[in-house]
Amino acid sequence: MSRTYLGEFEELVLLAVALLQDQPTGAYGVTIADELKQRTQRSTSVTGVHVVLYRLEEKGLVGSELGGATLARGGRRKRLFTLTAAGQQVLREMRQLRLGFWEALPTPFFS
Amino acid sequence: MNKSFSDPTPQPRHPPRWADRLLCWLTPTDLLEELQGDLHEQFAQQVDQVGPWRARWWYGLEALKVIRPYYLRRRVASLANWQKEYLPKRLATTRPYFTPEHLSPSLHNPAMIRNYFKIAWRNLWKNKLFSVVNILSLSLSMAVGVILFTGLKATFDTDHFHPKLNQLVRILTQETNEGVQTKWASAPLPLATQLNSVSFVEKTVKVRLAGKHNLQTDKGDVPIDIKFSEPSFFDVFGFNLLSGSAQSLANNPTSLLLTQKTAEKIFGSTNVLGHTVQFENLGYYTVGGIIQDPPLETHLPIEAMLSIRSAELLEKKGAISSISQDWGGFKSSAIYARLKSDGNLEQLNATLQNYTRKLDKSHLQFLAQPIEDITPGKIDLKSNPHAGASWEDVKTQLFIILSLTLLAAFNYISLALARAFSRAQEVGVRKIIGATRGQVIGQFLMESTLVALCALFFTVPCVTILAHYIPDMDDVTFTWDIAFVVGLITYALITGLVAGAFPAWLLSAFQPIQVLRKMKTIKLFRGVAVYKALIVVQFSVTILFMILVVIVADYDRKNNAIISSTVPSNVLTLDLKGENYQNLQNEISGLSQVETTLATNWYYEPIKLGKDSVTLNDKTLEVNYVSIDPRAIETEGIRLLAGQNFPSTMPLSTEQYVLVNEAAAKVLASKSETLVGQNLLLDSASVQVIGILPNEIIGQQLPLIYRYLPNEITTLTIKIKPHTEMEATKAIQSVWKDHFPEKTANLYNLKEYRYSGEISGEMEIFGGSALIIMIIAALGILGIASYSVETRTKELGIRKVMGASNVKLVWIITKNFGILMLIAGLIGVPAGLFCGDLLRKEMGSYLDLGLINISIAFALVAIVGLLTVLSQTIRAGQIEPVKVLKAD
Repeated sequence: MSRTYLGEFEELVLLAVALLQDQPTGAYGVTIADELKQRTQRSTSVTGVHVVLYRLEEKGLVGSELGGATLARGGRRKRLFTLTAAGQQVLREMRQLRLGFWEALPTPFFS
Repeated sequence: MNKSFSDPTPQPRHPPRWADRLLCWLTPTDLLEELQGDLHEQFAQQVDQVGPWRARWWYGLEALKVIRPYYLRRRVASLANWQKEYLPKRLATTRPYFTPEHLSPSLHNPAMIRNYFKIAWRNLWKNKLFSVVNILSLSLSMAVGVILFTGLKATFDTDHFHPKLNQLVRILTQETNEGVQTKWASAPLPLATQLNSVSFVEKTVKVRLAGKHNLQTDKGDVPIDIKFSEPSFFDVFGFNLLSGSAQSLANNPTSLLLTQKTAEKIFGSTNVLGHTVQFENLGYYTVGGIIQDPPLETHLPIEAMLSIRSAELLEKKGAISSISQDWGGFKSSAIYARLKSDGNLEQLNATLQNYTRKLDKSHLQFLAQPIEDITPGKIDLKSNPHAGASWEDVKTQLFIILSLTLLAAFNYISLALARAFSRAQEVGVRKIIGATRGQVIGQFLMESTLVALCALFFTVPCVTILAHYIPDMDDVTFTWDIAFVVGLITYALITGLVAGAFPAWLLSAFQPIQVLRKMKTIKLFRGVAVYKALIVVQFSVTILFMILVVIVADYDRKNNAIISSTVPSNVLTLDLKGENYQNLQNEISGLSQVETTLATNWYYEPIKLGKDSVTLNDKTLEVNYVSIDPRAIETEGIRLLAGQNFPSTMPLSTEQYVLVNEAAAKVLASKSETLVGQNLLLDSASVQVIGILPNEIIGQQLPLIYRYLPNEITTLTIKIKPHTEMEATKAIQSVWKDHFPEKTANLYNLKEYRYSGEISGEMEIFGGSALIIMIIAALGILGIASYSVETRTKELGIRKVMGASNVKLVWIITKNFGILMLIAGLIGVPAGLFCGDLLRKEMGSYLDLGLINISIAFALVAIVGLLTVLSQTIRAGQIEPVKVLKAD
């Protein structure tokens, strides 16, 4: 398989990073977990999200830097994640793949 | 959670500290900052959304979620990296025999752990004898540990079955009398009415402790503990009624509630609603309900409960002391209260300050004590009989667990050290291949934990067997919940690590060059000889306990001999139950089967004691006294040491003379003979000492004063003609019935009733401990002896070739152990003497610490030890030189 393999949760996290990276809060553990919780109604734990983020970073799909300490965090810095070019590429490929499938399906399936 | 704004307790805004520590410990260092920051941020959100308590709960769970393979691997990797940087500096002298191509995998690598486990298992399998010895001794000591732990758990669970536990309080009374403060677990009943008007007190319960009362059945009296209370008792406390209703206490003053256990004891069934019973002095009561036995221990055990209204009626009749309205009579009543919320405790204590009472001589202050604080108890309280273990007891139990586990761990240590030679090569080879010291330690620790875990399998059957023999432990039940299993495994792991730590540390320090060059010539190090010291320690402790066992057994034997030779078997005792006995005694004396009767509280030893303050020449002491029939001394032929018996004509109204025993004379006067004729101040009356009696030969030796107080006599002893017991019993009982038809006669044969052979509690405890310790020590020495034969086979073979006889060979090996045994004796005997002396101070001077007892104890241990050794060393005699030497 030439393409990077992504699990479902990994894909969702990657999408959340893409969504949040340009917003003022930035994409880091808490915001990503909140976003996922809101959209999927699943309980997501920060520690789990972090594991996925680190894996994505190892695969080169996201990059990160430290910054943005606040009082609520007890002065600890956040790791802010951004999508890399490879990440964008993977997301695009995913979408293409899925769209391809949907287009191949017969129309009655939708209703 | 409903928090009112007036709540004074500050809301915790911080995550729980333990969770933070866990996080620091488990999370990879480079990831800690961001992860913890995120969690803190989310915690702050959670506090706003769901309140501080649930947020803390959530945070704890979240911190635990860090335990997942991804983080752990990275954490371990970072630790290993740190180690790699750190270790080479220290190990530069031993490591580089050759430089390994690959760095050895880290200590905690799963493959490595699997490997440790495999090798450990093979090692255990290879040395089956050692493994069995270790496993057996560990499981034995762990079984005792588990039993004690279960007891501790019961202690901490005491009273945890009440609903809204943290809102329940007991009122304590602090009495200040002439500057002396005493704290009582009881409180005056009138206080309850005042408490009821306090706004944040939801409910109060009055409990009056009436003590044991005789319930009259056709089989004789059954003493039953009675408490008076009100229906709210069953609302406030977690006691449930199986049948009947609590309200019957309020409606009907003759209603009686029994617990399941009591009902079983009296009627043999719990289906007894409506039955009527009679209590001596209290009257008739009808069973109005059955109380379910509580699921856990409680500080308020119930046998029978009557209504507090019936207590008031009984007070009017004069059957029980009148305390319902009396602030001073607080010593046998308790007040409990349920507060509206658990934050009201401080408030209540402040309110109670207002109720401080001044009495004639003293004044009373009141305090509230949460029910949870009763067991294990921290403060010294009076009239607190069922509070169970105090913190001191908890500490003692922990200490026993620790020392027993250590003694068994000694076995492991000494066996491991004794085998150091055979493991040395293995360590050498491992190190040369590139193992770090940490890895070698890991290997040994894995072995010891494996042994401990195996021991756990045998612990459970051991526990069931042991629990039968330990007093008060019969009702210990094991609930196989997760907490219990986790506790067991943790205990085994800790035991394993403790046992393995020292051998692992020593063995891992071997230098490969030394151990591999020439095994025979090296002196490994002195540390290996530690195992000898451990054997000595084990056996000295065994000897210590054995000495205690022997002297207590000796005491029991002598005591029984004295009893059987002095106490005649044809004496009956009759409980007088506070009745006027003159006519009864005359009539019984007139019976044809009866020889003599004595109205006395003393018959070779006190039957019932009182206490008096005695003043002689400005010296005031508290001394026990006993009421005696003067004729008891004559008829039993007891010789006075000095002075004379009471004169035959004595005025009944005023007391003139007393007798004292030798012990009391010694306490009172420096030269005991001079005491005769002197005047003592007994409480406030002056009496003359008329004679000195020898000390009691049965029971404890107390200083005693013998007084003639006919009103305080509680027992009639009746000497009957031989072989007439049946008829005499019948005749006496019918005489009793004529005089006191409403009470049952408590008539017993003195010897059977008081002295039928029971084993003393000390005997059971010492005997049990001695047995367990001896088994553990014997197992240990068994392993060592077997090993020492094994390692010396070649030497023994050569000796045999040179012409040594079989006996000589066995002697050579056994001799060393004999010496160890002697050294153990040198330590154990003085220790036993010391402890025996302490025991003697507690039990009176009958304990014989003489040479014979000590030698018996020492010889017993030495023989068991040496026989164990011999069972192994006997093989030395069967060595065939050809077989053991042909390989060389």
